[in-house]
Amino acid sequence: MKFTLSWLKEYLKTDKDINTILETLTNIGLEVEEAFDQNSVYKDFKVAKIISTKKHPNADRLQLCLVDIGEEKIEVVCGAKNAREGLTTIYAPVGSTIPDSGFKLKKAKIRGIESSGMLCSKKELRLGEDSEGIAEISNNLKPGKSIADELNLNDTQIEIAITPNRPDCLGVYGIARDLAAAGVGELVNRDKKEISVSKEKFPIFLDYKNKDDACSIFSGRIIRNVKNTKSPEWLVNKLEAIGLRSVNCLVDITNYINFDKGRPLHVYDLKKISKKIGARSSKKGEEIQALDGKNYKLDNEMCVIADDEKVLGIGGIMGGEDSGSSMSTTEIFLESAYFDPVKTAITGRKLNMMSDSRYRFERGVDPEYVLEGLDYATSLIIELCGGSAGEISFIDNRKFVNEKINFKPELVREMTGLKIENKITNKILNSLGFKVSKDWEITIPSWRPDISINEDIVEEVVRIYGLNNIKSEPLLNKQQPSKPILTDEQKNLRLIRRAIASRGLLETISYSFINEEDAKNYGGGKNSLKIINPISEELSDMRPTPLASIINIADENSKRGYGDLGIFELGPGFSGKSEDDQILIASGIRTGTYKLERFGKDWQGSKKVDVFDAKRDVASVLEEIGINNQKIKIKNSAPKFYHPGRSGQILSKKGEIIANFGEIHPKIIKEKDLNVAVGFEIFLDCINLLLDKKLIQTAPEIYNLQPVRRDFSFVVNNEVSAQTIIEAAMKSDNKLIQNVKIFDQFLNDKNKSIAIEITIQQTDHTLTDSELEDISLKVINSVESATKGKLRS
Amino acid sequence: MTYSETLEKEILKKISVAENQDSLEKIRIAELGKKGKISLLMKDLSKLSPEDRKEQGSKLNILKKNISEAISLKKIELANIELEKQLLEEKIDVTLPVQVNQSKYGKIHPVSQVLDEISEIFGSLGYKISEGPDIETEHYNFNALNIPESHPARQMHDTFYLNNDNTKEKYVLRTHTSPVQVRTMEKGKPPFKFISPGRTYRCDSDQTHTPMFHQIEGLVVDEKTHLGHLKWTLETFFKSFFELDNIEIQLRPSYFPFTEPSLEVDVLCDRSGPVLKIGEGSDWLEVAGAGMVHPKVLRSSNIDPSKYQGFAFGLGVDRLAQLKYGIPDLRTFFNGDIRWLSHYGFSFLDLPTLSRGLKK
Repeated sequence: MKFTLSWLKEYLKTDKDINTILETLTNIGLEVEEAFDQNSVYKDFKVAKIISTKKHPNADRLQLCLVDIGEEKIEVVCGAKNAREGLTTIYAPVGSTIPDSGFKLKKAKIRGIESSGMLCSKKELRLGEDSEGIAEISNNLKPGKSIADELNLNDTQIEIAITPNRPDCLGVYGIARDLAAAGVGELVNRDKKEISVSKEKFPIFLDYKNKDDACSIFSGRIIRNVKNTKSPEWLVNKLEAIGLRSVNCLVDITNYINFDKGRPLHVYDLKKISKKIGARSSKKGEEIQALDGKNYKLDNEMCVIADDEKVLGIGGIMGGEDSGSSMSTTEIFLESAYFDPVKTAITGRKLNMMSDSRYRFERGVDPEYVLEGLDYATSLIIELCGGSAGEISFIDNRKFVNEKINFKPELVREMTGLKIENKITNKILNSLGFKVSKDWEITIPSWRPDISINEDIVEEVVRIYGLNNIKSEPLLNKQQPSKPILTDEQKNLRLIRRAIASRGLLETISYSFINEEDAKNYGGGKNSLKIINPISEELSDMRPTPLASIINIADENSKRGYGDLGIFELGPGFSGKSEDDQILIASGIRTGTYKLERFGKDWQGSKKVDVFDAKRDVASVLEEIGINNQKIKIKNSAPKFYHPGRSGQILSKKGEIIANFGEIHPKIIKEKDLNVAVGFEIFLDCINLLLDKKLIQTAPEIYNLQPVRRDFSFVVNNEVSAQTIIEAAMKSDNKLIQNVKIFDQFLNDKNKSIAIEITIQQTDHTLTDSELEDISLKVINSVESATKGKLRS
Repeated sequence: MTYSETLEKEILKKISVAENQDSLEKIRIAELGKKGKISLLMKDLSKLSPEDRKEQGSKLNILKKNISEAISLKKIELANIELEKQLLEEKIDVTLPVQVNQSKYGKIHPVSQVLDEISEIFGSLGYKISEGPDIETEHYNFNALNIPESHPARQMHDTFYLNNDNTKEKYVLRTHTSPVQVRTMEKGKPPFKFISPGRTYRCDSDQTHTPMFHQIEGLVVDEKTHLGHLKWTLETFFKSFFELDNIEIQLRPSYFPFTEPSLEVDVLCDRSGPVLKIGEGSDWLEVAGAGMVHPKVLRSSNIDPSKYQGFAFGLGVDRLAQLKYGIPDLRTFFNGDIRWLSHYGFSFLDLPTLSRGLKK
């Protein structure tokens, strides 16, 4: 909402300075976004007269102007076509700041010629929209004088942010009322002008009958013999100061009242209306060319203004092009109505139409100001355009009654801690237009649709009293020292994040959405997980796994010249819309040669990453949070976006999937700038089920006797997994065999030879040769029967 | 000088100039070997008279002993020289570079770090952490928070909608973390004191907006918590977070459908220099939205507003990270440029705790 200080002062009698006013606006909830103080901005700019011009020696389009700036005559380089001898214009000296660009002028050479300062266009000075050529101002002005004084530029343009609950401040009057309540001045009510009215009354209709319907109050009157003209200067200036363009006097008057009182109105050319005018629901197939020049197709539930033949406008949003006023208009119908906030918003959204009227109606205009607003506009029209007004036609199906609240004044203290005397509470409410009875029954003013409960009243009182008067009151933690607050899940998440980073991977955070093709590649792309209004096609689908995102990130980094990298993300993957379909996944990848030992070109040599690098990442992280080999098994069943032969899945003994790891499927990275990528996904929700939460552990078993190690070599079929051999060896003597290690592997066509080392822990006595022989036999038998292989002789 | 003395001198001289183990061994064989000079002299003793034999014998024994010792010493000396020589031959170029431990390259994203910092502060104040889903129903994201369909505030939210699949409920990507208020309160009983961090989404993209960002919501509901407590809580939080004692905040009335009264919170800052400084100067910087929980929100969470009241606040996590660590462009947070991640990321060992301080 824009307005000027001088406009505000028409309604607010105050001797407070501009800074107090601006500060108060923000402090009462009308946040100042910009204040443009013309006097301070324009005082350095001077009236200047061009004495003579000549061509710039080094540039065709530039001129050298000799300019009279009062105390001296200087040479300025200028590119404007209208720069000519005798022109009075505006000069910006070196050191001044150009308002439009914020650029501070320095002494500069332009094509080899020094120019001290510049001649400005109106646009550059924010004095208008005209950017063609330099400003042309009256020849009567004296060179050297400040334009702030000479052009009367001493107003302040103010823009405030109005929250959606405050339609009453979408008019300057409402803002003045709030400031007066806050003690900045006194609210001034302008005298109403008497209008002499003829008996003529134009027939109106209102198809809607209920108070919640799209239109519940409709009124208007005709005014004959008006002379539509250009608006007087004061009106043009006022509108331009808040960024509105002057159209013609009739339209300008309605726009002016829209911003002055927050009351939208519309002027129809009476000659375009047949028989009667009113509000009704649109019929499917109806169309209208609106004032913005666009054609709108209507459905069967929009509120339109119509005569008995055709649609004239869209209720509360925009009038039609045909029925609007023009310079040749002489007879008008002036409409003032009340349109429902919800229904106006719905229609506006459906038609994608925005206007200052819709903005006000959908927030709620004052239903008690319909007729007064109509009279206000009538008197201004008669004053500026002449004419004679008819009698008001008026249908009111709303029958507005002010709401009342039984207020508990002690609530102010209970909710804010502020001890405000009841007397002051009462005074604040009165100054805002509330009526307060002796027993605190409060009548809500018609312009405050946002107030309905006690808490709303508390807000009114404290925002005017001053939120900054609220005193800090400690809200300490009663538990000292404080108890831990993280759940086991939250603790694991934090540990896992840092455990992965400790493996040399960089944490990324990426968008939870990816493109459709990627989503499909990673097992997603479901219709139900598509975003209807994505920011771009690249971000259209909820991702099934963060792995999909980080592979793209690796690709982008690789294109920037960083092809050997390790990154990870701890974020959501989605398989459906419900809460349970969102799972937390820790996903990482390594690309190129980003192995733990070393990467990139190196004199010691470097190798491409392989599936075991990813497996090592997962195993290390799992180990870190307390999941070791004994709790898991590995299967060859990773999802299809992994290389089918070089990937695996880690499962709990019960079969819950804990993690996937492997080389990313070559088809997926084919299009990308990555020659190899290995990755993993750890599913955090599953991990939490597996954890041992014992705090105190049993003492470790430490033996004095040395462990004994024995090596074996088996020839088995290539299909036999290492896991099978280790498990078989391990369980051949659970008590004494402490560890099984594979230390060599030799591959043939069909068979492979696997060498294992068994660690036997002697407990209570040194094992005899025959006891050791027994264990060896058990290992051989167990492995041979589990693998159908043979001990290598 | 006796013969044996002359001989000893002669042999010792030979030993002292021996150049290597081989020549020393030759000397040993020539003197002490079976057919060596000393051995032959020993043999010749039998030809002497018993008196002479005794005298000569003892002299020869001394000679033999001295020579043996001298050879052993020389042997050790020569071995040391040879080892020294061999080691020098094994010399390699130790200026060849090595790669440092790769774990140095692993870093924690600033948003994660800041979330850990925030949890640390609110944890010490007794807040739990409550989380909710990113895909929300319109009910939780809007309706239960007193933002009905027609509300103008819905337009401010630039909501992402998900495809409808035959269900009545419309799904959105949550536009704020406030739905977690309702979800958490529904499941429990007052009093409540928790924060809810998480990803939030809005259909907006420019230098200061990304379609995804992070918020943290805070909520306290009991029988008497009021705005004075809110002010203290936020002051305390900002002081602790920025590790500055001179934090000054101001409260400004504002509007959120889910709080009443509603307010915005600014901190005092200085924008005059190239870097924005918190806690000094004369400008104000908006850092939070807050207010007293709206009775309708309490009612949608099955809590009796005539008995319970409390405050809620929302903070932008990414923005807090930007302010604290001077990160200029929000968009760079989420594009995964490893140069950025390495620069702004935190060591995994850099675990923020209150006793250590929240800064590195």
